[in-house]
Amino acid sequence: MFKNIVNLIPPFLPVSDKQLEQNLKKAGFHCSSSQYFSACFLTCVLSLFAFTVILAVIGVSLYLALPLCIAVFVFLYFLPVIEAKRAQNKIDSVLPTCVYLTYLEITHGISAEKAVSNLDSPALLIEREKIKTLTKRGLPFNLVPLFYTGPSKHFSHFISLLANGTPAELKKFYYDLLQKQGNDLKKYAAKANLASMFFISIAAIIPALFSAFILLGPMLGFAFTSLQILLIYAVVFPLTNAVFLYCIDAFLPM
Amino acid sequence: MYTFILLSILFVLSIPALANAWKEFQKQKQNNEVDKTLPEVLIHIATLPPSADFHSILEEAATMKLPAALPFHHCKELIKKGCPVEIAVSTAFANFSPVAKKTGELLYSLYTSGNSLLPNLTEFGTEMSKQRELKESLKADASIQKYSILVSSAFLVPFIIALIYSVSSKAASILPTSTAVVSTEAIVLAINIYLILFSFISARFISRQFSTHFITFFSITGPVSLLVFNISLLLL
Repeated sequence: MFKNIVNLIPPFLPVSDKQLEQNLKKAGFHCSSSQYFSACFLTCVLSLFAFTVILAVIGVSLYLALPLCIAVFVFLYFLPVIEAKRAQNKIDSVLPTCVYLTYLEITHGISAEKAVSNLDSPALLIEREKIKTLTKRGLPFNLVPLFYTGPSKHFSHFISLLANGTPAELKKFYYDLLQKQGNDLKKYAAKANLASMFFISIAAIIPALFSAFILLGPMLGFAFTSLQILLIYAVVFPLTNAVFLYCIDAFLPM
Repeated sequence: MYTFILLSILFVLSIPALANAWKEFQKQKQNNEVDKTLPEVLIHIATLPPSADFHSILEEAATMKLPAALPFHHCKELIKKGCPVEIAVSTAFANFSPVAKKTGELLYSLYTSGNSLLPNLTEFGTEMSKQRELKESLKADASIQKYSILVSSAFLVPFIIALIYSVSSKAASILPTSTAVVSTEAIVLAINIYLILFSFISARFISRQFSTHFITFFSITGPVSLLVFNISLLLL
Protein backbone atom coordinates (compact mmCIF):
# COMPACT_ATOMS: atom_id res chain seq x y z
CA MET A 1 0.00 0.00 0.00
CA PHE A 2 2.85 2.37 0.88
CA LYS A 3 4.24 1.75 -2.65
CA ASN A 4 1.12 3.34 -4.15
CA ILE A 5 1.05 6.22 -1.66
CA VAL A 6 4.68 7.17 -2.43
CA ASN A 7 3.84 7.76 -6.09
CA LEU A 8 1.18 10.31 -5.16
CA ILE A 9 3.58 12.54 -3.20
CA PRO A 10 5.66 15.18 -5.04
CA PRO A 11 9.42 15.15 -4.29
CA PHE A 12 9.70 18.29 -2.14
CA LEU A 13 12.91 17.22 -0.33
CA PRO A 14 16.00 17.33 -2.62
CA VAL A 15 17.73 14.21 -1.23
CA SER A 16 19.86 11.97 -3.44
CA ASP A 17 20.89 8.59 -2.02
CA LYS A 18 22.34 6.09 -4.51
CA GLN A 19 22.05 3.09 -2.18
CA LEU A 20 18.42 3.91 -1.40
CA GLU A 21 17.72 4.44 -5.10
CA GLN A 22 19.09 0.95 -5.87
CA ASN A 23 17.06 -0.66 -3.10
CA LEU A 24 13.91 1.15 -4.25
CA LYS A 25 14.39 -0.22 -7.74
CA LYS A 26 14.96 -3.76 -6.46
CA ALA A 27 11.95 -3.56 -4.13
CA GLY A 28 9.67 -2.46 -6.97
CA PHE A 29 9.07 1.14 -5.81
CA HIS A 30 8.71 3.22 -8.96
CA CYS A 31 10.04 6.47 -7.49
CA SER A 32 13.25 8.44 -6.91
CA SER A 33 15.06 8.61 -3.56
CA SER A 34 13.96 12.24 -3.25
CA GLN A 35 10.29 11.27 -3.69
CA TYR A 36 10.65 8.40 -1.22
CA PHE A 37 12.30 10.65 1.38
CA SER A 38 9.51 13.20 0.95
CA ALA A 39 6.90 10.48 1.48
CA CYS A 40 8.74 9.24 4.61
CA PHE A 41 8.94 12.78 5.98
CA LEU A 42 5.25 13.45 5.33
CA THR A 43 4.23 10.13 6.89
CA CYS A 44 6.33 10.95 9.96
CA VAL A 45 4.71 14.36 10.36
CA LEU A 46 1.26 12.79 10.04
CA SER A 47 2.15 9.98 12.46
CA LEU A 48 3.50 12.55 14.98
CA PHE A 49 0.16 14.32 14.81
CA ALA A 50 -1.78 11.03 15.10
CA PHE A 51 0.34 9.77 18.01
CA THR A 52 -0.09 13.10 19.86
CA VAL A 53 -3.88 12.89 19.52
CA ILE A 54 -3.98 9.20 20.58
CA LEU A 55 -1.67 9.78 23.57
CA ALA A 56 -3.71 12.81 24.65
CA VAL A 57 -6.93 10.77 24.47
CA ILE A 58 -5.58 7.86 26.52
CA GLY A 59 -3.80 10.21 28.96
CA VAL A 60 -0.14 9.25 28.43
CA SER A 61 2.83 11.68 28.31
CA LEU A 62 2.91 13.44 24.94
CA TYR A 63 6.74 13.19 24.84
CA LEU A 64 6.26 9.54 23.87
CA ALA A 65 5.00 10.68 20.46
CA LEU A 66 8.51 11.70 19.37
CA PRO A 67 10.26 8.30 19.82
CA LEU A 68 7.24 6.61 18.21
CA CYS A 69 7.54 8.95 15.24
CA ILE A 70 11.30 8.23 14.98
CA ALA A 71 10.51 4.48 15.05
CA VAL A 72 8.10 4.98 12.12
CA PHE A 73 10.79 6.86 10.16
CA VAL A 74 13.44 4.19 10.83
CA PHE A 75 11.00 1.45 9.72
CA LEU A 76 10.06 3.35 6.54
CA TYR A 77 13.73 4.11 5.78
CA PHE A 78 14.62 0.41 5.95
CA LEU A 79 11.41 -0.76 4.23
CA PRO A 80 12.99 -0.79 0.70
CA VAL A 81 15.93 -2.86 2.04
CA ILE A 82 13.52 -5.39 3.59
CA GLU A 83 11.27 -5.48 0.51
CA ALA A 84 14.29 -5.89 -1.82
CA LYS A 85 15.52 -8.81 0.28
CA ARG A 86 12.07 -10.43 0.24
CA ALA A 87 11.84 -10.10 -3.55
CA GLN A 88 15.35 -11.56 -3.92
CA ASN A 89 14.57 -14.56 -1.67
CA LYS A 90 11.35 -15.20 -3.56
CA ILE A 91 13.19 -15.37 -6.90
CA ASP A 92 16.20 -17.31 -5.60
CA SER A 93 13.98 -20.03 -4.09
CA VAL A 94 12.58 -21.05 -7.50
CA LEU A 95 15.60 -20.20 -9.64
CA PRO A 96 17.43 -23.61 -9.71
CA THR A 97 14.36 -25.43 -11.10
CA CYS A 98 13.80 -22.67 -13.68
CA VAL A 99 17.46 -22.66 -14.74
CA TYR A 100 17.38 -26.41 -15.22
CA LEU A 101 14.13 -26.41 -17.19
CA THR A 102 15.42 -23.56 -19.35
CA TYR A 103 18.63 -25.51 -19.95
CA LEU A 104 16.52 -28.45 -21.17
CA GLU A 105 14.56 -26.19 -23.48
CA ILE A 106 17.70 -24.51 -24.87
CA THR A 107 19.33 -27.87 -25.60
CA HIS A 108 16.24 -28.78 -27.63
CA GLY A 109 16.47 -25.83 -29.91
CA ILE A 110 14.05 -23.43 -28.20
CA SER A 111 15.26 -19.82 -28.52
CA ALA A 112 16.36 -17.89 -25.41
CA GLU A 113 13.56 -15.40 -25.91
CA LYS A 114 10.93 -18.16 -26.04
CA ALA A 115 12.54 -19.86 -23.02
CA VAL A 116 12.13 -16.62 -21.02
CA SER A 117 8.47 -16.36 -21.97
CA ASN A 118 8.04 -19.99 -20.82
CA LEU A 119 9.11 -19.07 -17.26
CA ASP A 120 5.76 -19.62 -15.55
CA SER A 121 6.72 -19.62 -11.89
CA PRO A 122 4.60 -16.96 -10.09
CA ALA A 123 7.76 -15.63 -8.37
CA LEU A 124 9.32 -14.77 -11.74
CA LEU A 125 6.33 -13.17 -13.45
CA ILE A 126 7.36 -9.55 -12.72
CA GLU A 127 10.92 -10.15 -13.97
CA ARG A 128 9.62 -11.93 -17.08
CA GLU A 129 7.41 -8.93 -17.88
CA LYS A 130 10.39 -6.57 -17.42
CA ILE A 131 12.38 -8.55 -20.00
CA LYS A 132 9.40 -8.77 -22.35
CA THR A 133 9.02 -4.97 -22.18
CA LEU A 134 12.67 -4.53 -23.13
CA THR A 135 12.42 -6.88 -26.11
CA LYS A 136 9.11 -5.35 -27.22
CA ARG A 137 10.90 -2.01 -27.52
CA GLY A 138 13.04 -3.60 -30.21
CA LEU A 139 16.11 -4.38 -28.09
CA PRO A 140 18.00 -7.49 -29.34
CA PHE A 141 17.90 -10.25 -26.71
CA ASN A 142 21.70 -10.38 -26.33
CA LEU A 143 21.64 -6.73 -25.17
CA VAL A 144 18.85 -7.28 -22.61
CA PRO A 145 21.28 -8.03 -19.71
CA LEU A 146 22.79 -4.54 -20.14
CA PHE A 147 19.45 -2.84 -19.48
CA TYR A 148 17.78 -5.30 -17.13
CA THR A 149 17.86 -4.59 -13.37
CA GLY A 150 16.16 -6.87 -10.86
CA PRO A 151 16.24 -7.74 -7.17
CA SER A 152 18.24 -10.95 -7.62
CA LYS A 153 21.82 -10.88 -8.92
CA HIS A 154 21.53 -14.61 -9.62
CA PHE A 155 18.55 -14.02 -11.89
CA SER A 156 20.47 -11.23 -13.68
CA HIS A 157 23.37 -13.65 -14.17
CA PHE A 158 20.94 -16.26 -15.49
CA ILE A 159 19.59 -13.77 -18.04
CA SER A 160 23.09 -12.82 -19.20
CA LEU A 161 24.00 -16.51 -19.58
CA LEU A 162 20.79 -17.07 -21.50
CA ALA A 163 21.56 -14.17 -23.81
CA ASN A 164 25.27 -14.69 -24.35
CA GLY A 165 26.28 -18.01 -22.75
CA THR A 166 26.29 -21.64 -23.79
CA PRO A 167 23.99 -24.44 -22.51
CA ALA A 168 27.01 -25.95 -20.71
CA GLU A 169 27.53 -22.68 -18.81
CA LEU A 170 23.84 -22.66 -17.94
CA LYS A 171 24.14 -26.17 -16.54
CA LYS A 172 27.24 -25.24 -14.54
CA PHE A 173 25.36 -22.24 -13.16
CA TYR A 174 22.52 -24.56 -12.11
CA TYR A 175 24.95 -26.71 -10.11
CA ASP A 176 26.50 -23.59 -8.54
CA LEU A 177 23.04 -22.44 -7.49
CA LEU A 178 22.26 -25.82 -5.93
CA GLN A 179 25.52 -25.70 -3.98
CA LYS A 180 24.79 -22.15 -2.84
CA GLN A 181 21.30 -23.15 -1.66
CA GLY A 182 22.84 -26.00 0.34
CA ASN A 183 25.31 -23.61 2.00
CA ASP A 184 22.57 -21.08 2.78
CA LEU A 185 20.61 -23.87 4.37
CA LYS A 186 23.29 -24.48 7.00
CA LYS A 187 23.48 -20.78 7.87
CA TYR A 188 19.68 -20.57 7.94
CA ALA A 189 19.10 -23.38 10.45
CA ALA A 190 21.03 -21.66 13.26
CA LYS A 191 19.56 -18.20 12.55
CA ALA A 192 15.97 -19.49 12.29
CA ASN A 193 15.96 -21.23 15.65
CA LEU A 194 17.47 -18.21 17.42
CA ALA A 195 14.93 -15.89 15.76
CA SER A 196 11.94 -18.05 16.73
CA MET A 197 13.11 -18.32 20.36
CA PHE A 198 13.56 -14.55 20.49
CA PHE A 199 10.12 -14.04 18.99
CA ILE A 200 8.44 -16.35 21.50
CA SER A 201 10.12 -14.55 24.38
CA ILE A 202 8.94 -11.17 23.04
CA ALA A 203 5.42 -12.48 22.49
CA ALA A 204 5.01 -14.24 25.84
CA ILE A 205 7.26 -12.71 28.48
CA ILE A 206 6.67 -9.01 27.83
CA PRO A 207 2.82 -9.16 27.86
CA ALA A 208 2.94 -11.48 30.90
CA LEU A 209 5.26 -9.18 32.85
CA PHE A 210 3.16 -6.22 31.80
CA SER A 211 0.06 -7.86 33.31
CA ALA A 212 2.00 -8.28 36.58
CA PHE A 213 3.08 -4.65 36.36
CA ILE A 214 -0.55 -3.50 35.91
CA LEU A 215 -1.68 -5.50 38.94
CA LEU A 216 1.21 -4.58 41.24
CA GLY A 217 1.83 -1.12 39.79
CA PRO A 218 -0.59 0.80 42.07
CA MET A 219 1.68 -0.05 45.03
CA LEU A 220 4.59 1.64 43.27
CA GLY A 221 2.54 4.62 42.21
CA PHE A 222 1.80 3.52 38.61
CA ALA A 223 -1.76 3.26 37.46
CA PHE A 224 -3.29 2.40 34.10
CA THR A 225 -6.79 3.03 32.86
CA SER A 226 -8.81 0.31 31.13
CA LEU A 227 -8.44 2.10 27.78
CA GLN A 228 -4.65 2.29 28.11
CA ILE A 229 -4.45 -1.42 28.92
CA LEU A 230 -6.69 -2.30 26.00
CA LEU A 231 -4.62 -0.18 23.58
CA ILE A 232 -1.33 -1.64 24.78
CA TYR A 233 -2.57 -5.24 24.48
CA ALA A 234 -4.60 -4.80 21.30
CA VAL A 235 -2.30 -2.43 19.37
CA VAL A 236 1.23 -2.03 20.76
CA PHE A 237 2.11 -5.67 21.48
CA PRO A 238 0.57 -7.14 18.28
CA LEU A 239 2.20 -4.39 16.21
CA THR A 240 5.61 -5.18 17.74
CA ASN A 241 5.08 -8.88 17.01
CA ALA A 242 4.01 -8.16 13.42
CA VAL A 243 7.02 -5.90 12.69
CA PHE A 244 9.41 -8.42 14.22
CA LEU A 245 7.96 -11.33 12.23
CA TYR A 246 7.95 -9.24 9.04
CA CYS A 247 11.68 -8.49 9.48
CA ILE A 248 12.79 -12.05 10.28
CA ASP A 249 10.65 -13.38 7.45
CA ALA A 250 12.43 -11.11 4.96
CA PHE A 251 15.94 -12.10 6.00
CA LEU A 252 15.45 -15.85 6.10
CA PRO A 253 15.41 -17.85 2.84
CA MET A 254 12.06 -19.29 1.65
CA MET B 1 -19.20 -14.05 29.90
CA TYR B 2 -17.36 -12.20 27.10
CA THR B 3 -14.72 -14.95 27.05
CA PHE B 4 -17.46 -17.51 26.51
CA ILE B 5 -18.92 -15.39 23.66
CA LEU B 6 -15.46 -14.95 22.06
CA LEU B 7 -14.74 -18.66 22.30
CA SER B 8 -18.15 -19.63 20.89
CA ILE B 9 -17.75 -17.28 17.91
CA LEU B 10 -14.25 -18.57 17.20
CA PHE B 11 -15.30 -22.22 17.44
CA VAL B 12 -18.31 -21.74 15.17
CA LEU B 13 -16.14 -19.90 12.62
CA SER B 14 -13.40 -22.49 12.81
CA ILE B 15 -15.58 -25.50 11.85
CA PRO B 16 -15.76 -24.75 8.06
CA ALA B 17 -12.13 -23.59 8.13
CA LEU B 18 -11.06 -26.86 9.74
CA ALA B 19 -13.01 -28.86 7.14
CA ASN B 20 -11.24 -26.87 4.42
CA ALA B 21 -7.90 -27.37 6.19
CA TRP B 22 -8.42 -31.14 6.16
CA LYS B 23 -9.16 -31.09 2.40
CA GLU B 24 -6.09 -28.93 1.76
CA PHE B 25 -3.93 -31.22 3.89
CA GLN B 26 -5.09 -34.29 1.93
CA LYS B 27 -4.36 -32.59 -1.39
CA GLN B 28 -0.92 -31.44 -0.26
CA LYS B 29 -0.15 -34.95 1.00
CA GLN B 30 -1.10 -36.41 -2.38
CA ASN B 31 1.01 -33.79 -4.23
CA ASN B 32 3.99 -34.56 -2.00
CA GLU B 33 3.68 -38.28 -2.67
CA VAL B 34 3.44 -37.66 -6.42
CA ASP B 35 6.51 -35.37 -6.31
CA LYS B 36 8.46 -37.87 -4.24
CA THR B 37 7.91 -40.81 -6.59
CA LEU B 38 7.96 -38.86 -9.88
CA PRO B 39 11.75 -39.24 -10.46
CA GLU B 40 11.37 -43.01 -10.12
CA VAL B 41 8.67 -43.09 -12.82
CA LEU B 42 10.69 -40.83 -15.12
CA ILE B 43 13.85 -42.89 -14.73
CA HIS B 44 11.81 -46.01 -15.45
CA ILE B 45 10.34 -44.46 -18.63
CA ALA B 46 13.82 -43.45 -19.78
CA THR B 47 14.97 -47.07 -19.68
CA LEU B 48 12.40 -48.03 -22.35
CA PRO B 49 13.75 -48.70 -25.87
CA PRO B 50 13.80 -45.61 -28.15
CA SER B 51 11.41 -47.46 -30.49
CA ALA B 52 8.63 -47.37 -27.84
CA ASP B 53 5.77 -45.14 -28.94
CA PHE B 54 4.13 -42.43 -26.80
CA HIS B 55 1.09 -44.56 -25.89
CA SER B 56 3.14 -47.52 -24.73
CA ILE B 57 5.31 -45.16 -22.62
CA LEU B 58 2.13 -43.79 -21.05
CA GLU B 59 0.81 -47.30 -20.50
CA GLU B 60 4.08 -48.35 -18.84
CA ALA B 61 4.08 -45.32 -16.49
CA ALA B 62 0.38 -45.71 -15.65
CA THR B 63 0.75 -49.34 -14.58
CA MET B 64 3.53 -48.57 -12.05
CA LYS B 65 2.30 -49.03 -8.47
CA LEU B 66 3.44 -45.58 -7.30
CA PRO B 67 1.47 -42.41 -6.42
CA ALA B 68 3.21 -40.61 -9.32
CA ALA B 69 1.54 -43.02 -11.76
CA LEU B 70 -1.81 -41.34 -11.00
CA PRO B 71 -1.54 -38.39 -13.47
CA PHE B 72 -0.18 -40.77 -16.15
CA HIS B 73 -3.16 -43.05 -15.58
CA HIS B 74 -5.55 -40.11 -15.74
CA CYS B 75 -3.90 -38.94 -18.98
CA LYS B 76 -4.20 -42.43 -20.50
CA GLU B 77 -7.92 -42.57 -19.61
CA LEU B 78 -8.55 -39.15 -21.15
CA ILE B 79 -6.84 -40.15 -24.41
CA LYS B 80 -8.88 -43.37 -24.47
CA LYS B 81 -12.04 -41.26 -24.23
CA GLY B 82 -10.94 -39.40 -27.36
CA CYS B 83 -9.44 -36.28 -25.81
CA PRO B 84 -6.59 -34.68 -27.88
CA VAL B 85 -3.12 -35.52 -26.44
CA GLU B 86 -2.18 -31.89 -25.64
CA ILE B 87 -5.38 -31.27 -23.64
CA ALA B 88 -5.22 -34.71 -21.98
CA VAL B 89 -1.64 -34.13 -20.79
CA SER B 90 -2.30 -30.59 -19.50
CA THR B 91 -5.56 -31.63 -17.75
CA ALA B 92 -4.09 -34.74 -16.14
CA PHE B 93 -1.09 -32.89 -14.67
CA ALA B 94 -2.90 -29.60 -13.90
CA ASN B 95 -3.86 -30.41 -10.30
CA PHE B 96 -0.34 -31.30 -9.18
CA SER B 97 2.86 -29.44 -8.25
CA PRO B 98 4.82 -27.22 -10.73
CA VAL B 99 7.39 -30.01 -11.19
CA ALA B 100 4.61 -32.44 -12.13
CA LYS B 101 3.20 -29.84 -14.54
CA LYS B 102 6.64 -29.47 -16.14
CA THR B 103 6.80 -33.25 -16.44
CA GLY B 104 3.51 -33.07 -18.32
CA GLU B 105 4.99 -30.47 -20.69
CA LEU B 106 8.07 -32.64 -21.17
CA LEU B 107 5.84 -35.62 -21.87
CA TYR B 108 3.99 -33.66 -24.52
CA SER B 109 7.32 -32.65 -26.11
CA LEU B 110 8.13 -36.36 -26.11
CA TYR B 111 4.95 -36.90 -28.11
CA THR B 112 5.67 -34.13 -30.61
CA SER B 113 9.43 -34.75 -30.99
CA GLY B 114 9.12 -38.51 -31.43
CA ASN B 115 11.06 -39.69 -28.39
CA SER B 116 14.18 -37.57 -28.98
CA LEU B 117 13.77 -36.35 -25.39
CA LEU B 118 13.70 -39.83 -23.87
CA PRO B 119 17.32 -39.81 -22.59
CA ASN B 120 16.69 -36.39 -21.03
CA LEU B 121 14.04 -37.84 -18.76
CA THR B 122 16.67 -39.72 -16.72
CA GLU B 123 18.59 -36.49 -16.18
CA PHE B 124 15.40 -34.58 -15.43
CA GLY B 125 14.29 -37.21 -12.91
CA THR B 126 17.69 -37.24 -11.17
CA GLU B 127 17.89 -33.43 -10.98
CA MET B 128 14.35 -33.14 -9.67
CA SER B 129 15.08 -35.72 -7.00
CA LYS B 130 18.26 -33.75 -6.02
CA GLN B 131 16.26 -30.55 -5.76
CA ARG B 132 13.59 -32.31 -3.79
CA GLU B 133 16.14 -33.57 -1.28
CA LEU B 134 17.47 -30.03 -0.85
CA LYS B 135 13.98 -28.58 -0.45
CA GLU B 136 13.03 -31.28 2.04
CA SER B 137 16.01 -30.49 4.25
CA LEU B 138 15.15 -26.78 3.98
CA LYS B 139 11.56 -27.60 4.91
CA ALA B 140 12.70 -29.73 7.84
CA ASP B 141 14.74 -26.85 9.25
CA ALA B 142 11.97 -24.36 8.59
CA SER B 143 9.42 -26.71 10.15
CA ILE B 144 11.19 -26.65 13.54
CA GLN B 145 10.92 -22.87 13.53
CA LYS B 146 7.34 -22.77 12.25
CA TYR B 147 6.03 -25.49 14.55
CA SER B 148 7.69 -23.87 17.57
CA ILE B 149 5.84 -20.64 16.70
CA LEU B 150 2.61 -22.58 16.11
CA VAL B 151 2.89 -24.44 19.43
CA SER B 152 3.90 -21.30 21.28
CA SER B 153 0.96 -19.31 19.91
CA ALA B 154 -1.51 -22.05 20.82
CA PHE B 155 -0.13 -23.27 24.16
CA LEU B 156 3.08 -21.70 25.47
CA VAL B 157 2.26 -17.97 25.21
CA PRO B 158 -1.28 -18.23 26.72
CA PHE B 159 0.00 -20.51 29.48
CA ILE B 160 2.94 -18.24 30.46
CA ILE B 161 0.68 -15.16 30.45
CA ALA B 162 -1.97 -16.97 32.54
CA LEU B 163 0.66 -18.21 35.00
CA ILE B 164 2.27 -14.83 35.60
CA TYR B 165 -1.11 -13.09 35.65
CA SER B 166 -2.60 -15.41 38.27
CA VAL B 167 0.52 -15.30 40.47
CA SER B 168 0.60 -11.50 40.40
CA SER B 169 -3.17 -11.17 40.92
CA LYS B 170 -2.88 -13.39 44.02
CA ALA B 171 0.07 -11.30 45.25
CA ALA B 172 -1.90 -8.10 44.62
CA SER B 173 -4.90 -9.41 46.60
CA ILE B 174 -2.74 -10.46 49.58
CA LEU B 175 -0.79 -7.22 49.91
CA PRO B 176 -2.76 -4.70 51.94
CA THR B 177 -1.45 -1.61 50.19
CA SER B 178 -2.68 -2.65 46.77
CA THR B 179 -5.68 -0.75 45.54
CA ALA B 180 -7.37 -2.17 42.51
CA VAL B 181 -7.43 0.73 40.07
CA VAL B 182 -8.32 -1.40 37.06
CA SER B 183 -10.84 -4.20 37.17
CA THR B 184 -9.28 -7.61 36.55
CA GLU B 185 -12.00 -8.21 33.93
CA ALA B 186 -10.55 -5.43 31.77
CA ILE B 187 -7.07 -6.98 31.93
CA VAL B 188 -8.39 -10.47 31.09
CA LEU B 189 -10.37 -9.08 28.17
CA ALA B 190 -7.29 -7.21 26.88
CA ILE B 191 -5.19 -10.39 27.15
CA ASN B 192 -7.89 -12.40 25.31
CA ILE B 193 -7.85 -9.86 22.48
CA TYR B 194 -4.04 -9.94 22.40
CA LEU B 195 -4.06 -13.75 22.15
CA ILE B 196 -6.47 -13.68 19.20
CA LEU B 197 -4.34 -11.06 17.41
CA PHE B 198 -1.14 -12.93 18.22
CA SER B 199 -2.61 -16.17 16.80
CA PHE B 200 -3.69 -14.25 13.70
CA ILE B 201 -0.19 -12.76 13.13
CA SER B 202 1.65 -16.04 13.70
CA ALA B 203 -0.86 -17.90 11.48
CA ARG B 204 -0.14 -15.45 8.65
CA PHE B 205 3.60 -15.95 9.08
CA ILE B 206 3.40 -19.75 9.23
CA SER B 207 0.95 -20.04 6.32
CA ARG B 208 3.35 -18.17 4.00
CA GLN B 209 6.09 -20.68 4.71
CA PHE B 210 3.81 -23.72 4.34
CA SER B 211 1.96 -22.30 1.29
CA THR B 212 -1.36 -22.85 3.08
CA HIS B 213 -4.15 -20.37 3.70
CA PHE B 214 -3.66 -18.62 7.06
CA ILE B 215 -7.28 -19.27 8.09
CA THR B 216 -6.32 -22.94 8.34
CA PHE B 217 -3.78 -22.23 11.08
CA PHE B 218 -5.78 -19.44 12.68
CA SER B 219 -8.84 -21.69 13.04
CA ILE B 220 -6.70 -23.99 15.17
CA THR B 221 -4.45 -21.61 17.13
CA GLY B 222 -7.09 -18.92 17.85
CA PRO B 223 -9.65 -20.99 19.81
CA VAL B 224 -6.97 -23.24 21.36
CA SER B 225 -4.98 -20.28 22.74
CA LEU B 226 -8.13 -18.78 24.29
CA LEU B 227 -9.06 -22.15 25.78
CA VAL B 228 -5.58 -22.69 27.22
CA PHE B 229 -5.49 -19.19 28.72
CA ASN B 230 -8.94 -19.35 30.32
CA ILE B 231 -8.58 -22.92 31.59
CA SER B 232 -5.14 -22.08 33.04
CA LEU B 233 -6.66 -19.06 34.79
CA LEU B 234 -9.32 -21.29 36.36
CA LEU B 235 -6.82 -23.93 37.46
CA LEU B 236 -3.93 -21.80 38.69
